[in-house]
Amino acid sequence: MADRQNCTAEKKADLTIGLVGNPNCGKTTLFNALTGSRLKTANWPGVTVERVEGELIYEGLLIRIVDLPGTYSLDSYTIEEQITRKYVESGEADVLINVADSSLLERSLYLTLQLLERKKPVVLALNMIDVVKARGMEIDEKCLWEMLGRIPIVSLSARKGKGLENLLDAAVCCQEKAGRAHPVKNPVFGSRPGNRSFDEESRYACIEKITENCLISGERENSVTDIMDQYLTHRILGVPIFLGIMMLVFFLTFTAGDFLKKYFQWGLDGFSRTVLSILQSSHCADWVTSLVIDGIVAGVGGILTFLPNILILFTALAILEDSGYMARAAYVMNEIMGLAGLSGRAFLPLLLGFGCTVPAVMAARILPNAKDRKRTIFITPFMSCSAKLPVYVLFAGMFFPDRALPVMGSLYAAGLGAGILTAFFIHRGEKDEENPLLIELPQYRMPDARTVSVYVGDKIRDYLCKAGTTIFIASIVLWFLLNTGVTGFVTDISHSFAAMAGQMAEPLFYPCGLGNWRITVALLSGLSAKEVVVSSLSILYGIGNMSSPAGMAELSGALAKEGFGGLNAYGMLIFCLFYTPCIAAIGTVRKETDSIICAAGMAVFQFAVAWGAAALIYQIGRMLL
Amino acid sequence: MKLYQCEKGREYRIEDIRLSGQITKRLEVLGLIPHTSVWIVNRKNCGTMIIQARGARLAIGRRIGEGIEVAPSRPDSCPKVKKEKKDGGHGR
Repeated sequence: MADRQNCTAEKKADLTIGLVGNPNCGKTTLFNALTGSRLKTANWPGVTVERVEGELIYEGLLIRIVDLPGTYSLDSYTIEEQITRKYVESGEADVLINVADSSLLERSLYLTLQLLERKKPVVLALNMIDVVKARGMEIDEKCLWEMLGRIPIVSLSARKGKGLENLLDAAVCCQEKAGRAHPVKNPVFGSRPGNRSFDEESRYACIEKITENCLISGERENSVTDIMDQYLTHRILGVPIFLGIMMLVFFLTFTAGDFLKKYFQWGLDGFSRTVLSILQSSHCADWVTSLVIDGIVAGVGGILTFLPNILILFTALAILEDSGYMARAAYVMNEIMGLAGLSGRAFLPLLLGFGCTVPAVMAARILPNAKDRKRTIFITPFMSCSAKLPVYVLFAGMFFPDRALPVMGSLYAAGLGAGILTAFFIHRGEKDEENPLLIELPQYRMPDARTVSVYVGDKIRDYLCKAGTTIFIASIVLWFLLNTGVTGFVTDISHSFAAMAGQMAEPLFYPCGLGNWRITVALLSGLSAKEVVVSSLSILYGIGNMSSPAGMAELSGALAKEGFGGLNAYGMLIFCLFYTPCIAAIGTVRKETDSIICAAGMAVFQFAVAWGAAALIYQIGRMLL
Repeated sequence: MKLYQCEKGREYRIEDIRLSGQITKRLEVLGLIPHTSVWIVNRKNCGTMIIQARGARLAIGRRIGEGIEVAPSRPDSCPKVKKEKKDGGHGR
């Protein structure tokens, strides 16, 4: 149909199209279908929070497509809606494709009328037309065309890739006609909507007239969603069901992930042996062999063995997001979030935080109130992101093999609890008014395999990218710091620069039961990325395949010799849960709050909370045990 | 009566909205204006509820429910019964 190409901002496009529509109406799905992009899509309102551009060549024309955050109206409410309003008002687009969820035509037309009132060149894209037909509904397009002042209307299914060429044809045609005023008489407006101004009541009066004439409803629309909502959002069962779903997610992450992990461990062992034999046969210097095997392969490879856990976690989260359940979690958790002065809507960023803090912090844009947004951003890093997962799996597996799942569950619960408690204290200090819950709940649907695979694929790529960059560099730097000292290369690592730094910081960690210079170095290096804690331990203790049973036994034995037991391990897990998030997360907080002080304050605060919580647990534990 | 006091599984008609300007505006944009029919899908004891209006499903907190004055659409309103043709969902 069309050639796709990556956005090259230099060349001027022949046609610029802006995708405008309500949240969760399928704009990003359409954008992906048109441009061949792989942006994240999901089934809850507020997935897209930034403008994204892509290009394609159609019929010899270079067409730039701009995907915009969803908005219900041009009277902006949240940050991402303001992005869309500004774009529409800027006149940057030659044509606006107003993407409408056909199954919610009545609500979707509100924005359409606003666009027409502003005399924008609009093509109405009736998306999800297959859903409408499946529900036995029908839209009289000719009638709609007449009643909306004969604007171009195209039915399509972005998810199935149907109707896309018609849409592009309509957009090209619309651009050619743009600027030529041709008011058309019609039964609703008397003239093109752009010739009148409306208030909400008159807009909806028009919309009702349109739907009365153009929409033929089926017998029953939402039977599956109705039945599922009776249970999943039940006033008593709702919370236990949500907790059960999350427990299942984490259970699968750890158990099924561990099952798959052994194949990765075999692969790593084989790879390590092959590299070693190549290095030895090519008579490399000992230090080069050590750097590659003990530094890079042990550090980066050790992290890669956790890939199955990461894969399962993100698959489960993607299924939750695409099924339509995600937004229900906001409703179910509304009262619990209310304890912290936040609405259930703020729970969505926290839930995303179980995957990665960076997109979760950005997702806080869906909150309309600036104070709520800041408070949510502040507590999001308390959630156990996937980077903390290798630390949990390793330490829980080593020190609590029979109770690994409850131990890890307690960490997830502790993170959520600490986040809500922190938000509660900030809220009490600010005494601001609570923002009530108001969120649209999408229809449930069967998760789409392509959507899930795109989402999971992106996350796996991110993980591999991090392993190949941050963790790779951190491993090399740590190897040099461990093998060099004031006298040059050292044979005893306790005389290295890393040991000196670790020994200097050691006293700070004594009260937490972490007064061990190797552990201290691992924790400090984890500031770059949490996975680095594990890769660093691998290098610090010279263990090649850390996550294998033999590697875990070796590490736990070495730690036990240094007096590091179960209580120390739990203190370490608590410290890793709470302490300063990675550099990427701090950078995102700075960008989203537009405040260096806020980002720095959060980093220091989290370190203090981590230290306090670990010290408290260790000291109480020592008294009790 | 207030929306938050409504019974699950029944249909009501909005009479009046008395909330802060921003929330009222948001509700209007979502189609919740006087005379709009709303169906109570689910509700919690505390007043947080899921409603359906104009075909869209919304979760709303109690504070919003307190600010929306409603009246029963019909004494025997039943959400399962819908018009066969020319019905724009739960519109007025």
